[in-house]
Amino acid sequence: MKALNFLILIIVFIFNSIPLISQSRHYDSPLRVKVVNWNKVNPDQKTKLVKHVKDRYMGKWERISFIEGHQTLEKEDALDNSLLVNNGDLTIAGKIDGKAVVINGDVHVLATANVADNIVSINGKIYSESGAKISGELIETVIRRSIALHKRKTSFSSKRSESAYFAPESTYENESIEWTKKYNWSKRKRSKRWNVYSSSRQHENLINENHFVYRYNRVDGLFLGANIPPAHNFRSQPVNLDVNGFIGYGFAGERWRYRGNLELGLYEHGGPILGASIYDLTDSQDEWIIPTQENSLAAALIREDFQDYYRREGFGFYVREQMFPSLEFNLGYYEEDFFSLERNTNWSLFGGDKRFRHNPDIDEGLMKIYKAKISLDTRDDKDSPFSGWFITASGMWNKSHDESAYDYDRFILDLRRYIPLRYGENFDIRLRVGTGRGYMPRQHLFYLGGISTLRGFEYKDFAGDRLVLANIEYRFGNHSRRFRGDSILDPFNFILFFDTGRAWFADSNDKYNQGFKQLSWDLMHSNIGIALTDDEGRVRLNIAKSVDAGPSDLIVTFRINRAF
Amino acid sequence: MKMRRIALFLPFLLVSSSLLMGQEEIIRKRHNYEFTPGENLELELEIDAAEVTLSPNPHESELSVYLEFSETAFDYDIDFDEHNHNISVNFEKKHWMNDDDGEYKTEIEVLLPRTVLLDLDCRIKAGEIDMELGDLSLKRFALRTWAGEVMISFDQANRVSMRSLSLNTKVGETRLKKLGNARFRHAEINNGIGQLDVDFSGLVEEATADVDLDIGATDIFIPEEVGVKLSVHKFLFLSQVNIPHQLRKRGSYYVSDNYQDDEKSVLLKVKPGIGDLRISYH
Repeated sequence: MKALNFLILIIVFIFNSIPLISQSRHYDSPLRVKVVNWNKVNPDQKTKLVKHVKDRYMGKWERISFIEGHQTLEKEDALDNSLLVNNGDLTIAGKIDGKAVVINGDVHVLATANVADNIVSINGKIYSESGAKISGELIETVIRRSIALHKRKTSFSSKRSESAYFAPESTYENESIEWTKKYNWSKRKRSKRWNVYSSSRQHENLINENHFVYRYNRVDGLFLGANIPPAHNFRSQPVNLDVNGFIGYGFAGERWRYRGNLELGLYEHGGPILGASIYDLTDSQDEWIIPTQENSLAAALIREDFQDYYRREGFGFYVREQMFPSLEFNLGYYEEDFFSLERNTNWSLFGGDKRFRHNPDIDEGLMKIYKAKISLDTRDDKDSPFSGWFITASGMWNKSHDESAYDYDRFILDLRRYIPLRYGENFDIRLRVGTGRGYMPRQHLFYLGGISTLRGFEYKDFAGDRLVLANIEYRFGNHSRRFRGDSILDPFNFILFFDTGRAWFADSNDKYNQGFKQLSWDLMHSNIGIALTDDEGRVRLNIAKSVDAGPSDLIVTFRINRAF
Repeated sequence: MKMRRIALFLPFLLVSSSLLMGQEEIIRKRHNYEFTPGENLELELEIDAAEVTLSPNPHESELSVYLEFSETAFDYDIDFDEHNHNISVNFEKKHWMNDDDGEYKTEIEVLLPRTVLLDLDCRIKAGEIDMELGDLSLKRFALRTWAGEVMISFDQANRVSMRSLSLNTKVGETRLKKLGNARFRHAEINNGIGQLDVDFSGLVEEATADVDLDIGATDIFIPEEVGVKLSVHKFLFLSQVNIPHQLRKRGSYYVSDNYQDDEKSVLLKVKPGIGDLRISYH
């Protein structure tokens, strides 16, 4: 019996000592990695970013070894002070008796590693194997390029060293499940980030921002397709290539529609994008009047299609740059054929005997167009802004040539200002001016009247190659202190609005600034109105009446988006 | 024979327990994000269950998220959308049915940047929540919790005016300290079941607030230098309402003498539900 107990004790001792054995590692062999003492590091290598990281994450008096580029600390290696790695991945299998800090690189901590303090990765990720001994915290830090560059501005670093701020892509990103199953930036979330969409996409009309494209209108009928949005957020290299676009089918029009973009992104966010595009689209100029999704609902439910369509087939080249988060610039050259489209369906869920409007003919032909657009957007919200500016200036230039008789330019300036007066009260204003040079084809004329423009008039009552439009809205509601407590107004939000504008043909259109002398207050079309709305001012019931001379009807419309 | 069985079982127990212990790995990880002062940031926290602490970061333009949890019980994901100035933190419990959290406390600590204009949106299913949000630049703050104690305080004034403040707690005690320091223009406070304490100390700008409680006692403190216009919507006879004598009834409102000419005032709508409503004004 005693012998048995003795045997058991030995077994227990052996089992419990297994982890001890495996952890009693030998680090006494010489270090194979060539490190440099921090005090002896070349001053050129001590960039602002490196100094900032050192000050932020390492003690002032800490003994630091410095390495530039990818490094591996082998199982037998032991470092008796902290380690700072710049511009490279660090794999730790050995021992570090201090901190491990990596700038612009990932840290891979293997099971045999033993780190006595924090492990920090700047602009990278930390992957830790089970069993690794880490006495401190794992810290992943994002110091973005803009900040890094801002810090660098005061330094003397050369253009070459600028690229040092771009984190090298991890070679381990997709290599093994063991690495990627950890807790950072999981694939699940990636699809959400792919959905992030730059507002600057050119010719985005009629395509929504998701992977699945759907819409309904009177020329295509039900349109279904697949969309690959641009991957703006994955730009991490000096040169980034992206292919995006969509393809879909209109069941009533019995036509395929597509666009393919090849985009070359230079640098990270903020760098210019060079793109080439090939497309065959059902397009419209009326997205500014009613968004495609709301129009699709109106078409499918009540047989009202407010947009007019044409086919645009061609290719183009463009450059786009977002200079600041709020400022964006686009420039492109396009060769495209325009074709008229017919109404192909009259189906809707409701609508009785009503018929869809005829889809107007356009001036067909080939155009070779230069387009430019600049926009400043400081709004606090894209869909329901309460404050900020939104200014867009766009132009297109079309010269006649052998294959095309079109010779015209067109310019549009759209200025919007959202002014919060006090809580629950807003004053919003939009000014839109359009002009051109030469004979403008029908699809590029300006139209006014009806929803989003002159709300007391019939839809597209007025047309011309010159346009002025002003919309003023005063929004107030149940959150407004001025009206709070009033038993009648309390539950509602209201908008008082005034629209005035005119679209006309200039007597002479040789220059873009001609024709405005024809404009006078007497000739402007105006209406006033009131709307009942939700807190955001989006869902609204508008009642508008023209104040022009002569009899006019009340125009009642229901919207699920703001006019501007 | 019995001794032998015990003796054989003992090493098995030791070995298996040591293996089990080895499987549970505790993750302790911090994520830092550096910003430039005055930048906008939308921060979304979606947390299944944890002890959640929020406080200002000593590094003024840095966001820091610290997580400590058992690998077997939780999973997390942080998504930084630099283009849209958005960071979303998702902290998910892997299996709600198996309570395998182990003995370890699950903690999330968020240190918020002071100089970054923050839009903070928190959705926390369960857990104790302790937030010190003073001296930040909060443009908007929304919190929605399902179960757990909530303590939110603004010891110092918010650096910017807050466009909206929305607090929605389902079950549990909710204490809101020095809420006036938040500098909100409109607040919506909704508590399902449990005690609700709201302290409007620190109010310096005109503001409106809706306080709604379904079941439980509501204590509201308003400093007397603040003008008050109060409306109370009782739930039949089940609400016991205690209005301070300084507030005089005018129509359907209770109004303090300094309400009309005082810019420092609060328009308060209270729906006490089933329970006592005590309003202190001194």
